Amino acid sequence: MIKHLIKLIWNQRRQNGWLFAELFIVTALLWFVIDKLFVEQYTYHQPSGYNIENCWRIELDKLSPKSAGFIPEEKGNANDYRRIEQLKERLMQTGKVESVAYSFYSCPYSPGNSYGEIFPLDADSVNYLNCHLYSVSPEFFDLFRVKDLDGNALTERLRNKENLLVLTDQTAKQLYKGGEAIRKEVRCSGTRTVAAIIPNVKESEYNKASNGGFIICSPTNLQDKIEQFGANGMDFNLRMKQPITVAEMSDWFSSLGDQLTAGNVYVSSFTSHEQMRIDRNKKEQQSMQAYLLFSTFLLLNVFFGIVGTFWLRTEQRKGETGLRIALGASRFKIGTWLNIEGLMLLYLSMPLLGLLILNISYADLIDTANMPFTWWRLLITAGASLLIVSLMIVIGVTIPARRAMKLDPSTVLKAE
Amino acid sequence: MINLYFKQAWQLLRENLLVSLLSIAGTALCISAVMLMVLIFQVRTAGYAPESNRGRMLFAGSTRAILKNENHMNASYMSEQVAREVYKSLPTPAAVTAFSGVNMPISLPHKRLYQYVPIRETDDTYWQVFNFSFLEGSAYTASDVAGALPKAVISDQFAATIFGDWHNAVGRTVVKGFVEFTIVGVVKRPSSAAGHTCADLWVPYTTNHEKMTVSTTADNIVGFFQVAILAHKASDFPAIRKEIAANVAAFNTHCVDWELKPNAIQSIYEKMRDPSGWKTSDEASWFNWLLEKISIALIVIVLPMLNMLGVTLTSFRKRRAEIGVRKAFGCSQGDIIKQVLYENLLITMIGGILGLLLSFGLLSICKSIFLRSDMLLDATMLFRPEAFLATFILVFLLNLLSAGIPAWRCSRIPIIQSLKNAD
Repeated sequence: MIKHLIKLIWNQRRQNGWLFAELFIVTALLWFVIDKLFVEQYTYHQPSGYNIENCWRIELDKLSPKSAGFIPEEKGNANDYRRIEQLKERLMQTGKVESVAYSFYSCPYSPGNSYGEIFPLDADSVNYLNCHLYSVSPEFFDLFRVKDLDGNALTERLRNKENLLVLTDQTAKQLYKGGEAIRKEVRCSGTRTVAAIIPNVKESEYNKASNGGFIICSPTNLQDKIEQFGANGMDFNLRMKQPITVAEMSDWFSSLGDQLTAGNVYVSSFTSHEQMRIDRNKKEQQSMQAYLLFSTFLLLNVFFGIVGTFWLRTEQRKGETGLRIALGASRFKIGTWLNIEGLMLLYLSMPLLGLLILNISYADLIDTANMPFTWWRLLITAGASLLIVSLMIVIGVTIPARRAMKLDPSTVLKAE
Repeated sequence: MINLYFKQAWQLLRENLLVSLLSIAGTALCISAVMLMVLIFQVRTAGYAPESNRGRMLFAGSTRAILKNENHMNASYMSEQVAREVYKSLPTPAAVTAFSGVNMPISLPHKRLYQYVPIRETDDTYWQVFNFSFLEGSAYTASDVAGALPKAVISDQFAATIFGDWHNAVGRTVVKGFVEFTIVGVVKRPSSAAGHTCADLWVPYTTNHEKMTVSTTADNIVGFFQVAILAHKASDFPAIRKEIAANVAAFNTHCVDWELKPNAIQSIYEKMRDPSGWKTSDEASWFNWLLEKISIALIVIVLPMLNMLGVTLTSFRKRRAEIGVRKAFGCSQGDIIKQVLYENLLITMIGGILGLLLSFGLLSICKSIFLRSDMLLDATMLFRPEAFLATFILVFLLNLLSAGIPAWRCSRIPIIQSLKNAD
């Protein structure tokens, strides 16, 4: 039958040429769009690495020399760490806060972008990586529910130790090529020991996890860092015991009044990490939505075009179908034959499509940064686009074919 | 003759309902997509309160200080001194304002609040350049600004949030950074799409000591301020730019180590093409901007066109006999093409009108994607002659592309063959 169909297609090559070109272009476009959507959705649904439920970022600020209550003796940043610890204690004493962690432009969804190199210090390694470096206090990990690869809590193990570094899974794998990383020494703002490996973390939902290292700040480091950046240069992260709304949070802070000022340091404002997440994703989300709209437009167009063309084609061939019925073909067989003919036009374009996809991937026109271009990615995206177009062809063929087959062969033949 | 064509087209449309509906839907989709792009452009450059006069405004912001003889640059907004000496002294414009933005929590005297509020620190001419609608009270005056008096204008929305009601806001006090400000006016809150004016509180910039301090770095060139220049008419722009260049040169004569180099001074159209102001005039040219947009528009036009082409081609197979008869009776090739185009025009016109309506609907539904969700779209932004002109150009283009090829092909088939209705 296939041979017969190919002969049929070839004999009507002038008309089928157009159809072939249309199917080819449409499938290629559809593949491109589906590929992009697929990669974006895949990236978006990768775990972020953090749990930010009930977490808030508090912004601290310093009184200016002109404001009432300014303590001239505490000018500068030297006393800030002590004062911040006071604020932390007061907040913990209210009983509403589960934990507090400090970080420096390093909390989830913060715009911080401090990059640096991590050099393994083993004799046999010449390998180093440029990584996003996060500076955090040990409490950071329990607060954001980050555990090591075996699922163990980290904070207690990291507390009160100097010069520790925590690596993300992919970073450790790249640095040590799958070998053991824990307790190895690396150079990364001083010599540090790798204390733990944690699952990968993402900077925002629309980007894949980047290479990352967490520099663990001991109390001495905290004192130094806060003296360097000032109280207004750090993230004061809170995890509340209970879910709390923005309005409730405002009321609660207002009720604390003067307790939120310690020396020259005071609590200036707060944002939930969820809000930070929304803000961080906003731009990419907008362009994603625009792209989705564009894809819908494309799909609708393709639907109209393919269904319409095949519908008309099938209707025009009433005479031919009538003749076949008259010569003894079953109605079912004619339906199948019409469908296969349409689908064959599509599948004949596959080698060409493959060639085009290969070219596009060589020209680096698709997103390979967030997801490598593998066979299974090709299989899913190309398969999906072929399936969608096939479905459209089947709809465009089957409905009019059924109608045509209900007619009496003699009427159809007379029309011919 | 044309009348006859349309009559025939109408008959065909009714007879071939499926084909017609498909073509109309395809055209409508295509036109709505392109029109959506045109409408977004329109809305982005339209003037609306309080930025009603954007058409005759110039904006300057990002500024570079370049260390002479060395490869070192300091880039930021401009200092108050630059705003004053280079821009506010311009003779040609109607008004020039310098302002800067900041996000800070605003509290009540007896109650600390912890939410960030967008604030603009401005001069008094700000209220002339932008036309805010005051619901109560008035703006702070030139003498208030000169004397650095702690007076503030508040948005109705924010006043309602912190005072419960904006009606009694004038005369009340808010606290910004431990300083008490008296409210002198209440304005309607601008839409967040109005980038230069959207805020909840406005105060004289002279009250911010940090921003008024003469900086010792970079010869006090860079700082926190942006400038908006309101010209009497848009044709004054070249003269104003010339005056700015002269002022920059004069300013640089008393700079010691650094040189002032403002980035682009932009009209609203230039700002749309290059929001950061960092591109060179070449990079931000209309040509490059259009090139970027046209590639999207091309996909949006070519694909529906291909689809319609397929549909028209297939539907024409049926009519070959008719065309054969017409040609046999002396109809020329050109006449056939003309007839097909006219027939198709009816369909594209119906599709075009539907598409235009659809694009208005789409724009208001998808506001949050392309513009801002709190932006109010009004008739003056949407119903502009450019929109209709663009639709009609598109309709003709689509018509020509989707029916031109089938028409040309049909008209070329020899009479005998078409009479036989064979390939």
